[in-house]
Amino acid sequence: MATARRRACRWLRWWLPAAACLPLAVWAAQLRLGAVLGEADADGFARADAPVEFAFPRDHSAHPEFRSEWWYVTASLEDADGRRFGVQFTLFRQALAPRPLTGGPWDAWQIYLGHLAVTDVAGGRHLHAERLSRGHPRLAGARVEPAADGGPRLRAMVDGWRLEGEGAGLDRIAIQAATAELAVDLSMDAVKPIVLQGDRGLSAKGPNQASYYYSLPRLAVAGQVTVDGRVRQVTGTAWLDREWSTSVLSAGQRGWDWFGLQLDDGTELMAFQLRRDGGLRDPYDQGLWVDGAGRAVQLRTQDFTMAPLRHWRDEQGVAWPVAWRISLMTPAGPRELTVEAALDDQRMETLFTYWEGLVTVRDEAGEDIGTGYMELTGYD
Amino acid sequence: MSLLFTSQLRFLARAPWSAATALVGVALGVASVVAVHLIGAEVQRSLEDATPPHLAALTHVATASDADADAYFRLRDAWRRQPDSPIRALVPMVEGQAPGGAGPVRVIGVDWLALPAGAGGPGGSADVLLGRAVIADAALRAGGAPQVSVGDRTLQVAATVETGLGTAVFADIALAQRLLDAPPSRVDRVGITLRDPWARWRDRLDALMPGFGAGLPEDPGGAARRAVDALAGHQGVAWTVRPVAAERPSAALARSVLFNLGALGTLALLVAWFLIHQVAVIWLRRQRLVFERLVALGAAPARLRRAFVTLLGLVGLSATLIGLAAGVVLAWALMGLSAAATDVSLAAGAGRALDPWLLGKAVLSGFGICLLGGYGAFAGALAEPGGGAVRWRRWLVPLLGAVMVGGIVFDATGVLGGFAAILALSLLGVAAVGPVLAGLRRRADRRRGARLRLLDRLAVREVAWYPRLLSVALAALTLAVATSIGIAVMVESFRIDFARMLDLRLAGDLYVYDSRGLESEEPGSRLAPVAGWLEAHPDVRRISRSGQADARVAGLPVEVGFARMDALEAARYRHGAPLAPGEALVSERLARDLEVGIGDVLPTPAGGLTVVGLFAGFGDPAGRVVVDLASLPRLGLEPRLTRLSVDLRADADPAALAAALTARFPALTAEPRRSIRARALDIFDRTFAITQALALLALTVAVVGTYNALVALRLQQAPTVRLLEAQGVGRRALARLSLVRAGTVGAIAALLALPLGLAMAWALCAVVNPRAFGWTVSLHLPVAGWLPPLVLGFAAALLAGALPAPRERGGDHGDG
Repeated sequence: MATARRRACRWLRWWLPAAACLPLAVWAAQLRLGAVLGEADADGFARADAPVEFAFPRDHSAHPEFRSEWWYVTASLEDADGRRFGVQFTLFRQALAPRPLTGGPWDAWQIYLGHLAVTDVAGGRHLHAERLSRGHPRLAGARVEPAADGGPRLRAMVDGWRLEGEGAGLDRIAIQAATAELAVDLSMDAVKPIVLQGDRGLSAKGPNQASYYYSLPRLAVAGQVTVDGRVRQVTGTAWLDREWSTSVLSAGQRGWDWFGLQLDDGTELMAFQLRRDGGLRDPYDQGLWVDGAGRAVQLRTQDFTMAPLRHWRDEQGVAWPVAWRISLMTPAGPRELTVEAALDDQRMETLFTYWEGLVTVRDEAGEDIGTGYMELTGYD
Repeated sequence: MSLLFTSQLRFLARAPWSAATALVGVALGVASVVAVHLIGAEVQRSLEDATPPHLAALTHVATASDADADAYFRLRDAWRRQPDSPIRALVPMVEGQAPGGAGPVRVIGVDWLALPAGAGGPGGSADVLLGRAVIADAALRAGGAPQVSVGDRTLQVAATVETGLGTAVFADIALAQRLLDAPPSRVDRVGITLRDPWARWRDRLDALMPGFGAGLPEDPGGAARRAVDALAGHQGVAWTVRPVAAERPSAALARSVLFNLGALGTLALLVAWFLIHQVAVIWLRRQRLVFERLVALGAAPARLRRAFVTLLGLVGLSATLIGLAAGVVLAWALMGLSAAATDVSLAAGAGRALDPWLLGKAVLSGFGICLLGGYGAFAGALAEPGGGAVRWRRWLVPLLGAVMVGGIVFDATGVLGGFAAILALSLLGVAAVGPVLAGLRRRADRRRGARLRLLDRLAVREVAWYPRLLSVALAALTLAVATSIGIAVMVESFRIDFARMLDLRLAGDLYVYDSRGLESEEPGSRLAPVAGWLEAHPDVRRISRSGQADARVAGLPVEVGFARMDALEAARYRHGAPLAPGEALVSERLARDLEVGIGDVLPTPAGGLTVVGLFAGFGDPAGRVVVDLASLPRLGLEPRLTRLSVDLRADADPAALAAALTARFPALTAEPRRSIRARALDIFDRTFAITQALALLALTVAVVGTYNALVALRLQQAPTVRLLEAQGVGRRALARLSLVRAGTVGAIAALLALPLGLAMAWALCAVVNPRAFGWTVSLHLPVAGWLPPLVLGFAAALLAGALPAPRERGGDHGDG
């Protein structure tokens, strides 16, 4: 089973540029985003512009002074019969304003959006759902509070979907989410410690854009996945990403291709490329290599390349690149990886459409050497 | 083109008159359907445009006396733990009155993010979330100002909408709580969106028949009720779940009117179906010899039938096109008749769209009934005389009886059940035509030497002996006359009740309003000088002050009327004693909605109100409560008076006083009772103008059918007439024969139609009205209600008999 996971600037692409894609996520059908906040309406929000000292467990909870934030879990799982499943559970936070609008628990200055998806490879199905809510103590939010044993506990939720984490290092995480069609109930134990992305946790996305983020690159998972009422006990590995920022990606970038791969040899790889108009390589493309002991090495633009091998065309005629070749230089030497979608159609047709799904990793000889998740945006 | 079809076209050319009458009849039927559809679609569009943004995506609203945020969250948590619940959304809402710059403002707060995906309001939910407000009623936003003041806050206006809710501000729930000075724990109601697997079909039905949805039973099977019970079963909060229509009573009322119109609009079509069936029967009879010869020559009966039905299809298609054009004109005319009768402007852009639904409906109506009529007639021609009819009557009559009884007895069948009962009753009446003719024939056979003269006896016998020619026309005429009687008696009864209510309520000689709204001022401040001036006037005997406000009782929106409810005021609501504090009079509609009666207690924010009397609130779109001024605090209302009722001395002239008053106080509107009464009755008459026009249209189609049938009978009897002429019977005697024959048809139709029409009137007054509008109408039998349609039907039959018969060529073979 492979490993490696992570999430970099991809959501910045969605959430920040469109003047807080917030309303995009929130009311795509009716809202004029520009009329609400405006493209450059980031005044009053804090900015990620210099490395800071992360403090855990405090930084597991929400940072409402920044505009965007997420708690992002993806998992590669199998049941006892070897049937593969992928799970995505994401909790997004978006601030409508840098300060409370009316005060009180119902104040709508903080909005939360949840995405849940299960890929059933053998069943050829990718089921997904989303929930949207204002920040409210009884509805949605993310905060760290003392647990019964006195230790810190992260409680993040959006309208009944929950992510809870124990300990300063989020040593144990649980997610519970259900809809009429699917449900997940997973417990995760951190196998590797938290790794900081970019420069001590400051991840640059452009000349004046950056985010703060860190990851738990490998968690051991056990629990159950329910699809259409059939409950399956599963095990596998998962990745948690945490990121918050205010900055907006620069103009001229159309989307990104992101990979978070967990290899069977205990290493993990995250890499993404930003697709620019005109096909030029973006100098802020980056990656991270984590060795078996949890040591992380940053990958710069020149350390890796990505090339699509196969496209899948959806009913609207959009061609999604669902197989890739990734060539990279690791501390252990050069690697050539082939990454292919476990299922071609793993689109998230939510308030905004993107592709996020389970992939299989193969080596030069075509042998399976790991699994992971791939994310494709800006194609529709 | 096949030889058979060519022969049919030739036949059509030889029978232009009957073809023309068929064309006219079906075209009128189609026109009626088209006109009603256009009117309905226009009203629907207006209603949808004016849907309050927070209600658009909801199907139900849950209320509870102890509703609060905690109860809402417990409900929501339970819902989220039950993924297979049929509920799609739970939306917390608060509502109340806040002081505004120009008077009290209704503030409605909603958690916009809890609405189902895709739902949202004008101006965008984000605007609302960001603390801006959507304003209902442009009057609040004087001069299109970008801001409005509510309480001590100035709100940015995101959008202005007209919702029919009056002056209101839609805001995010957090802002609304602030505006209402309410704690975060306040949640007044919970909006519900129920997953409805039939919604798509219901929408399509509504597109096909605008307003149809209003006739369906609300919350069939109590799905919403059960879904909420399943969530809140052990939470200790008793939620009451009502369809969202209860939040917009005026829209619900308009939809009920639409349903009634839709039901009536199909009457002309039904009568037209009778007509086309009868034409087909007559044409078949006239071609019988030709057909028999063709069969003898080897033509297959199925091909004959196809050629014949195609011929009728041609008539139907032509009638459809004519009916479509006529329907648009009719819609304009009918909307002109009823303009100003309803809250919704019927005249706005009527007939602007011949949408695909309408075109399909028109084709189905015109083309479809012609094909059906043709097939039915062909099948009937092949059937054993009498045998088939007896067979279907054996099971159809009990079935119709069951539908009629079920629709009347079971309230849960709603307006649809009421109309189904009336339709069943009508069809039972129609089914009686055959047996009546048979009885007449037996009687005529037994009493050969009756007192009638020979030619009169002959005329009566002809009617009884040619049931195939006449029974359908007779049924159509009976149905049309009965419906006209039913509607006219109901309208007259309603008018009598309405006029009595006006006479009771409008007891003052003069009524004074402030056109700028007295409610916008502190209690009595603007009234005080007016009242003082009136009290000092020598013609004035007594002044009563009253007011009206919107409130909620047991979660339902109601209108509250208040005054000093002494014995005189209480008598206006047929209550024999003054109202004490804590006592209330309740409209029949509200009592029905809340399922309360005399002696029950209405829950209010403080103390409750005991129902001591019921009254008919004719015309009130919402439920109504009448209380004494002293009871207003129980409803959380302030005594803001909006009207003065002035009693004058016997010899005083109300108009002169009104003129003097408005000269002294130009902002006031003063209107004598007589003027208000006349205006109200005018609106009443306009409201029913469409109804009566449609009934008249159906009667016209029936008369065309009767004429057609009588002409056919005359053609059939041509040899007899020639024999009579040969024996010296003069033209006048033959004309008399024709008139007696027509009179017999008219008399039979009248005899059948009178009891049928009265039964219909009763069902409309006692079954349909309470279910559609919430009030019961007492059945009165004024001559003006039942006699005119009866005379009209009889006269129309006589006229059909008196009109000269056209000369048509073609075979003619009696079946007597």
